[in-house]
Amino acid sequence: MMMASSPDTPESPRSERRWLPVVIVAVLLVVVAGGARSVADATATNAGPVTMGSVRVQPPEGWQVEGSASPTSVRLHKGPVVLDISVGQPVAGGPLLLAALYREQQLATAFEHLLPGAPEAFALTSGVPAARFYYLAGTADGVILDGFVVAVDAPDASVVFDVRAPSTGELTDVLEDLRTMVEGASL
Amino acid sequence: MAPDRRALHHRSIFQFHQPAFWVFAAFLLYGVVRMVAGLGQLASVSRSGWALSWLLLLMYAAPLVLLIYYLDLYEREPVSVAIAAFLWGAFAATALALDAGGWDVVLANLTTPGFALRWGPTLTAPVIEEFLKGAGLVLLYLIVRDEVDDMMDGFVYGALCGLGFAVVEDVVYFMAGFGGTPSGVLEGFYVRVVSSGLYGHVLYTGLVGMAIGLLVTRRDPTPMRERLPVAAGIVVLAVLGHALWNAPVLALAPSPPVRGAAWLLYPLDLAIKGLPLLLFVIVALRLARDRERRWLDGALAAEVGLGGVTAGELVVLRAPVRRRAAVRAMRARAGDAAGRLLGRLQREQVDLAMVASRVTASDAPELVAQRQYCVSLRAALDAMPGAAAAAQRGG
Repeated sequence: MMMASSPDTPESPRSERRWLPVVIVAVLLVVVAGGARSVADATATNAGPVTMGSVRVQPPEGWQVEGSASPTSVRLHKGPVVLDISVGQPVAGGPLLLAALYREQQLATAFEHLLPGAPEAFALTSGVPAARFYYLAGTADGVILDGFVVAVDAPDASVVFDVRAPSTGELTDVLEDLRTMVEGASL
Repeated sequence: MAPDRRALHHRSIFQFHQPAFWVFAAFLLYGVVRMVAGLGQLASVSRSGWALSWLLLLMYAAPLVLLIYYLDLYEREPVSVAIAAFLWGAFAATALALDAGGWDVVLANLTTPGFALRWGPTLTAPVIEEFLKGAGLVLLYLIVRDEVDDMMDGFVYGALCGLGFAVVEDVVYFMAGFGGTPSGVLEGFYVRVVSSGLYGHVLYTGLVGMAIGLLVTRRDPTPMRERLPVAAGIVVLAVLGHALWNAPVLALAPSPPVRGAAWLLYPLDLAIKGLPLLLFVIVALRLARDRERRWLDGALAAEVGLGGVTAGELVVLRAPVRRRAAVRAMRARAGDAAGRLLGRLQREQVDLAMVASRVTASDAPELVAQRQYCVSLRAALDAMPGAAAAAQRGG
């Protein structure tokens, strides 16, 4: 039943009262769900270039080195996203074999469950051959991870970039960072 | 003009004139688009495992939905609102929780990635997820204020919302955390549902819903300043229960590969973390039911003798077992139509209690209209052959 508005209770304040709690809830939802990225960016710090033997990588803004780099490996992180970079000798079978070896020797032994995609060959903009594949992994603690591997087979060294993140969407956000690092690496 | 009885109660979710409806719909649409795409991708891991996940979770969720829905002794929540609560948990809250995953990044930035990976599910997820699910319940209340009358209503909507969240989360875990193959899905179902299906999101969000119901109830004369701390305490308890569940402590679960009797450690491990909260919720629900019964007595005591309800009918009305027995007796003696009519009279008498508790004057137009409606239903029932005698026996 439609109520007639009286002079003492004008329509506009009632309308405002109907909207106010809705607006507050909507804003809180947007801030809690969408504001996390902004706060994460604001609290991140930067790392300088990382050198492993003959390979040099410049991490983009927000990435930090965990521990110290060895001549063959380094671990970087950006929040809960982890990037392992491994450097080795060139592989005779090319990047597809390098990717397959990494999958079988490193990933398969590191996780409780592993669902790897099929490696796909491609070339960096510099023409260096490479291969890439996605994987889904589960740890013994029940943590689910999304992962992405890029295996680069340069003339003087092979480099594997293995980035993984909790399966809550973070991986997609760092793929552009990974592309920048792979394309910009001095091999 | 006679008051519109339909406007007093039993609204559907589709209140297009309410701003909250459109905000609710917008977030829900976003969640559906985002989660359907994600869940579809998981199907590519194993179609048979994906289908088995949904089948098993349907078998788990269907009886739980009925159990939750019939918890409220005196009124059934509108089906469309109950479905909306479930869908909010399943799609909107899960999608927004994925977006809010960035708070784990903040935790990692402020501490270390290892700490964030281990303690993020304990420190960030409970607060964020309970907020996201609870915000949906608040929007539901703003859409259909009349349908959230007390703590029991809040629990029903909250538990359904939590169940929706749990179902979608379990599909993700079965497919990603347990490998997605049919055997992995069965393992996941044993660990996450058989061993722990009574704990988890249903309880946490049920408690959050109870807190909202306590705050917005119009049946309780207790001042808001006294209800607020109790409601806040209930929400804190829900969040702490969620945090304890996620915490990497008190863990007795066996390390893979699990064989033989070691599987029995899962229910034991999960009971240690989940059983105390389950027992608390059972006690809280019993108290909420007693409170409902007292409310019904108080609201209808003054109505006895005014036509809407008789003393005998009130005795039957306050005990669901007696209500059902009276309907059965009516059906046996006077037929199905009479049984249905008695059931309808009982529902309208519960509505009479609601109207009586919302108005201050005993001659308020909506109260008089509801009273007269009950009188007319009883008259129609008495006119049915055999019904009057059955009604006397039943009540």
